[in-house]
Amino acid sequence: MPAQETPVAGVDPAADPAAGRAADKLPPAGPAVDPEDPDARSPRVQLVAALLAVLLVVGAGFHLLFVSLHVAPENQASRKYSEDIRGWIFPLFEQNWKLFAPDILAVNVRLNARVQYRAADGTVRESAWTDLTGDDIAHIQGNPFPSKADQNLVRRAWDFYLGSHNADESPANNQAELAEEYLRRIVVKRFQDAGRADGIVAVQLRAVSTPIAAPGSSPTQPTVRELGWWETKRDDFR
Amino acid sequence: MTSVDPGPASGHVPAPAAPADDAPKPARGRPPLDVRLAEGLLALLGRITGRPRGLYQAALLRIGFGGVFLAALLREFLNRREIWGDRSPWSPDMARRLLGGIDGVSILLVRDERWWFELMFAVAVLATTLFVLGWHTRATSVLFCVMVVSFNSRSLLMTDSGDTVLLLMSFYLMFTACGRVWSLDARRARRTGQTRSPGPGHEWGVFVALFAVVAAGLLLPWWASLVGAAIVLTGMWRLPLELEQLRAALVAAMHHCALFVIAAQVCVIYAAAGLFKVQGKTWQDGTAMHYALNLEYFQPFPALSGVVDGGEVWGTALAYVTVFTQVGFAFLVFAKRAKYVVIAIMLGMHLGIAVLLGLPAFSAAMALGDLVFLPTAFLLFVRAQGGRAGRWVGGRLRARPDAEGAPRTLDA
Repeated sequence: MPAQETPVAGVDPAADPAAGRAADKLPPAGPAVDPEDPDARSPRVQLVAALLAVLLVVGAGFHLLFVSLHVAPENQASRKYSEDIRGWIFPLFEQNWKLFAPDILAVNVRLNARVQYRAADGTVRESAWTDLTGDDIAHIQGNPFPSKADQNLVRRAWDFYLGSHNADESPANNQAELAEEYLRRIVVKRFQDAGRADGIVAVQLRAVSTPIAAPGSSPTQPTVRELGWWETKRDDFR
Repeated sequence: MTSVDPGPASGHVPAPAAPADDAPKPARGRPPLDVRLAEGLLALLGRITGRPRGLYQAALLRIGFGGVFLAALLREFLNRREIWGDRSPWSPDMARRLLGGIDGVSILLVRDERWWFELMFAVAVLATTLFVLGWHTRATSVLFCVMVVSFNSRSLLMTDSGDTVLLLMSFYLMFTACGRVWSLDARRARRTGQTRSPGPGHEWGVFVALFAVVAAGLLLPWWASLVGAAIVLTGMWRLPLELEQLRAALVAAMHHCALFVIAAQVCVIYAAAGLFKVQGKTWQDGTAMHYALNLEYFQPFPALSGVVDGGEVWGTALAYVTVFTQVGFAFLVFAKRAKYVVIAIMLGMHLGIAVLLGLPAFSAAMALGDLVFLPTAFLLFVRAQGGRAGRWVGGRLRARPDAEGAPRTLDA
């Protein structure tokens, strides 16, 4: 940048009569022209500024178009441009606004876990079931600002598992392994926190789903989905 | 743009309806449509590149979203290592595997050691505090966005919709002039009389901006940080007048576009949330609220939830009002008077969600989205009332006149 020696920052009254007039009215020491004043801009500056504005407006419009197509239910337009939309939206602008919609999942899921551990005498024993969700809820109740660790950890890990597995527990996509690893490590961590870290060799999960009774009707029986035993890995303990 | 009263046009385009008596009266009608359209377009572009409007709305968003993130960081201080750090069951390696598929990045994944995490946590708290206070706001806004993105991406499975809103807004806010009012920057400008134009005297700001560029450079390709550093370093010198005017025009245009995107984003959220609900059986037959209030994970006060979950008419009314306001938000919020009703309903709804479902951060983020649509005069009025109340309370507490008289309800 060429540095300015003149006290009136780069104003050349001969080149720009409008700017020169504005400069005459002000004391010479202060800033001669307010750069934000649109009236003080030469036509050349106005033109370039207008072009920049057009670019930005078009850019903002495209962004909003992509966001709208990403948020909307899948349609023929979003199918046609799915690659472009994905490329623009991820990772920053991903969003999903199906908040309790179309329908609220009217069921309370409680995730239970138990472990096989090597006891002091060398035999492998099985612990009783622990209610992971129950612990979360105990922390949430009475708390006006509950922690993410209670609200989202177990809940979303189970959602992640459901999203990556079929009903027969077989993997549905390439995130299945990640989901299992996450759940396994959560169980290990919870047992560690409870002082039961020693020698956990395997963990097992079950989800107990209790439907919320419709208004005025009696509650229905919970259903249980029990997963197989997962062997722990060395890296699960930290 | 959307949130601001139009105000007088910037005036470099002749007004179409000139007073009739000083015209030579050639009995000509109005200029043809294409001329008027072109003039209108030029006037619009002039407004977009002219003086920034909506500065108070932008400042409110800065303080609000910065405050939400700061509150989340401090609230989780004891759980920080479990949620984002070295004790998390979601290991750095797993985070990288998930982010690899979506090109996600996080400054927390630069190193796996605990000291790096603790350092970044401290930087995040400090940067967010400075952003809320409006200290070299453009630079701290970049740091703020880097930190919000990083904490989100590190533990994607710990986030909820409130974090999504915060992430989007932290990105959009980088492009707004959100530090012009209600900020330390504004106070410094008042005290020193220094202009915003780059040049000597802005060395400290350039230094902070370089720090932000380095932080962003850990997430971006290497050349991006070089470009960023080059742009930041020009702040050491004065620009020639025309370039300086262009810079100001670009800043204003970015600010206006970003505010428009923010407003549109809020409308997209409500429209989507409402239209998805319309398709749902439980929202149609009015039982949705009953189910929402009986979810164990969203029931911090079961007794209170039980009280609100009281009766068929009440439940149906709540469900219908929710759906109608969400679907209608995008239309009603641009109506001069109806918008106050819609915004009031939305704020009430979010207060309810905050308390009954135990989601104060989500509710605060959404409520801030509603508040962008309030006019400047309203914000200034509330600010003045808040300042008066603050002085009154302060005077009562200290039982002596407030010497400084600085109202600080919204500033800090």
